[in-house]
Amino acid sequence: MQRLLKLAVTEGYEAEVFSHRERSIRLSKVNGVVGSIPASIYSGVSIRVIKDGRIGTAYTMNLSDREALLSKATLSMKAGIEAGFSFPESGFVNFTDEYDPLIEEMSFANLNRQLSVMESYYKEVAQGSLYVYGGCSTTEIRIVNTSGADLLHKNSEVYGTVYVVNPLAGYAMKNSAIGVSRVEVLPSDVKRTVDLYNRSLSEVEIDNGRMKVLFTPDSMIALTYRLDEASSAKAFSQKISPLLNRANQLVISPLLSRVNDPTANPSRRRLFDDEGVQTERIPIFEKGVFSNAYNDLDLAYKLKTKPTGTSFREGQMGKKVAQNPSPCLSSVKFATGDKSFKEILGMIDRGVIVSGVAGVSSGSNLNGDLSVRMTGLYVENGEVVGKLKNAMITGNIYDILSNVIAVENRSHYTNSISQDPSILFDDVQIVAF
Amino acid sequence: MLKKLKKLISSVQADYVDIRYEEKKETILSMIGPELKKAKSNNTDGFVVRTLKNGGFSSVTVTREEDVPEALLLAIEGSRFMSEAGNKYSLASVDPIEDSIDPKLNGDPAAVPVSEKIALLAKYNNIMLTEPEISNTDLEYNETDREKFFVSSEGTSIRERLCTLYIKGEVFAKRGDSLQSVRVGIGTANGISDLVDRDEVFVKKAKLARELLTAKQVKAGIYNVILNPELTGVFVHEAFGHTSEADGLESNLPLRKMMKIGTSLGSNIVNITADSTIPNQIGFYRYDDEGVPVRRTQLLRNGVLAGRLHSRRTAVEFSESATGHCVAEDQNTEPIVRMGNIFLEPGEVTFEELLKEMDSGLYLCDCCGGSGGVNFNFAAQYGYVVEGGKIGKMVRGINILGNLFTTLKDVVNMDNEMRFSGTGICRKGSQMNFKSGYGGPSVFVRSMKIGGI
Repeated sequence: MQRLLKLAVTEGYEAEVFSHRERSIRLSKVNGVVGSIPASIYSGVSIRVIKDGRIGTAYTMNLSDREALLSKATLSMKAGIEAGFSFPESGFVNFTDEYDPLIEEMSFANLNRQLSVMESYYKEVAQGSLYVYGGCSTTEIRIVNTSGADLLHKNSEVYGTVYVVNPLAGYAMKNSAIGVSRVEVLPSDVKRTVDLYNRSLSEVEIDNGRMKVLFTPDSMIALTYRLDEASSAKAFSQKISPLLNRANQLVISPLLSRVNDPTANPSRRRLFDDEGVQTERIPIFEKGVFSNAYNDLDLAYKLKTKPTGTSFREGQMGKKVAQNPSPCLSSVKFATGDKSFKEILGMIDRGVIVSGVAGVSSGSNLNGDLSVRMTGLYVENGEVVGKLKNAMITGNIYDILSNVIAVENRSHYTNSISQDPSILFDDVQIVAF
Repeated sequence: MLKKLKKLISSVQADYVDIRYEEKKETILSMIGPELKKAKSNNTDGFVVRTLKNGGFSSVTVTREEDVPEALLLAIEGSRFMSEAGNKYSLASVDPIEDSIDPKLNGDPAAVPVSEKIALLAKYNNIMLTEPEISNTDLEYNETDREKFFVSSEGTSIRERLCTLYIKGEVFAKRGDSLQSVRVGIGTANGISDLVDRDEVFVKKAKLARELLTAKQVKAGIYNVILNPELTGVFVHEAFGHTSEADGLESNLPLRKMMKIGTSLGSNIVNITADSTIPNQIGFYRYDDEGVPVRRTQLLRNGVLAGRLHSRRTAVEFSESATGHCVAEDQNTEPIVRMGNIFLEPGEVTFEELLKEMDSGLYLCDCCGGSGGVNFNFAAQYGYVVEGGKIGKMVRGINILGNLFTTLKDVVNMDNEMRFSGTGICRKGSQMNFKSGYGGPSVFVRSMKIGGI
């Protein structure tokens, strides 16, 4: 990496070299039978160069010819893409606190044992199938730049998700767990999922109407997908965000605060983003007031604000180096409230628990309009009566998020960037067929 | 390269081993509004190895040649683990093949300078930006040129070049606080000339975005509908096609029972076919990533299940033949069962006759997201109220909710004009496949559930 950086310096460039290496094994099972076990050993290097206010990028999976890679970046720069920013002076970081070297050598048999333990918590499932997906990986990210940054992030993780599937009715409920060296299952979370699943086996019909709706952490994405898109600096720069000109205004319920904080993520901590900017706690909404859009170096420069440490290279399966960094929340959640799940359930005289959603990105997202299919459990007087056969939530997320009754006192890991508590909303439109 | 691959696997102690090497050249250009945001051309490569030993089947992907020996050891360990876990997989027999394929391109993009590609992208982008009330655009040119080398221990040795191109993105219209967007895209596996002189596509989508600003939100309810060719294609791909992929079906025992070959699943006028041999469509290829020649596969004939999509492994599981549908996204992924092109076959009436037959309902057009499977939901980009067989006012906010089997039975008729999507992105597990084409005619379906307000 340093040789490549030096080569860029000799051309008179400001430069950044990003390298990524990942080793992973994965395993899937259906009802205890192992189905597939893909594995991968990925590595790659990306370079970004800046000169005279223009930026060029290039990447390779095999750094055998540094001159050729730099030539590609130079060619890219000649297209004339503007860059007003410089690479950050982030000093030296060597973060390996969440790295267990034994994970490099973990066998398929050992991984299978861990996932079998996870599976064993689901004995009480009344009927249905258990789909288990899990894996372990080690990741190394290193960033060096001509502003003197030399940043290393090395981590390991073992993760698993168990889906309780009703194959014919076509829905599933799930729990996910993760840890640095082993999957850390929370038995209370599993019990809640199994209880809800067992109560979903009978179907009920209701009339369409507005009612109380409790979104579980796995279904919150129906609301947060659109909210998080709207609070991206990309949407501000494109002038398509409904939050434009709403800074410091009350936009959603004062019971809701939404914060991105990769430094406090219990399972996937990051001290710098993929551009080498130090990460920090960034409030997006504080007590319902829109506080900050999240950005990358380019958009921070263009919008004349400071970088928020939220620029990541999206992409799985070894494609990180192929992607340009862009604004991305990596560790975001609604702040927890003061009620247990059981207490919140008791607050529903008539309503629906949304335990899963499908097609969350469908439709026009720009204004916050929402029309998504859900797995909905009908509740009367605090008790689950059964599952709605075909049901959708419709409306607008800003209306829904403004009408909060209660927020759960715990957040949950969901195998996504968001780790939310359950939240009860009032007066949400349910369409049932 | 083929010789090198043969050497790399020559000493592996397994019942079967294959190795695939791919070199991918890609050019990505993107514009947001008038600004060029990305311009990069890259070459990258990688290997995928698979081993079968004592019934255990395993795959490992690896990016560096020096890591291939470690990947082979890991694959053998995986095969051993699978065997000890009780798996007894085998592969459908296929004849060994030696072949080298180059596509006949209508304009090889490799011979076109990047500056001309930027000019083409900018032209379409400007066409949209200059339409009234268009506030922004987000448009990408993507050129992926893959050269694949496949070698197996059975003697198969294949080189195939695949070149896929598309320009797609979104156009935004704004009036006051009202903001609407429409997806736009053109694509081909047939060369860059297919992307030239397509101005009308971009003009049409920009105008549509503007029209949506004044469209009323549809009322939720049950409607007779006509799906336009793109929505028909999405339904066929997402609901029926994925259910026809044998690797998803094999462990879903209740669904597997329902999807028995010879079972009547739909209206007797419904015929659905998967065909990746159509040269000018985006899902075109000759050999899958197991070295099996892809063949046209009739999936539904007169409403009766006639076939499904297979890898060599699933073909044995179902006691059927390999169809050549085991495909990887690229050099970084193992092959899984995939559609290339899939379509519902056209009928005999004209579109006007179809409208008259429905009389009243909704005419639903294009797709903007959703989720597939037996129970599906898709959002239509826009639609029109149909009254007395005539197309009336535009509506928006349309989400279709349905069940595959009910919908197949509720197909009333289809017109005689077949259209393919031109572009397509399909996510399955963690893989995205851009070589995914779909299409069909306009189809009249009775009693569909429509979510709105």
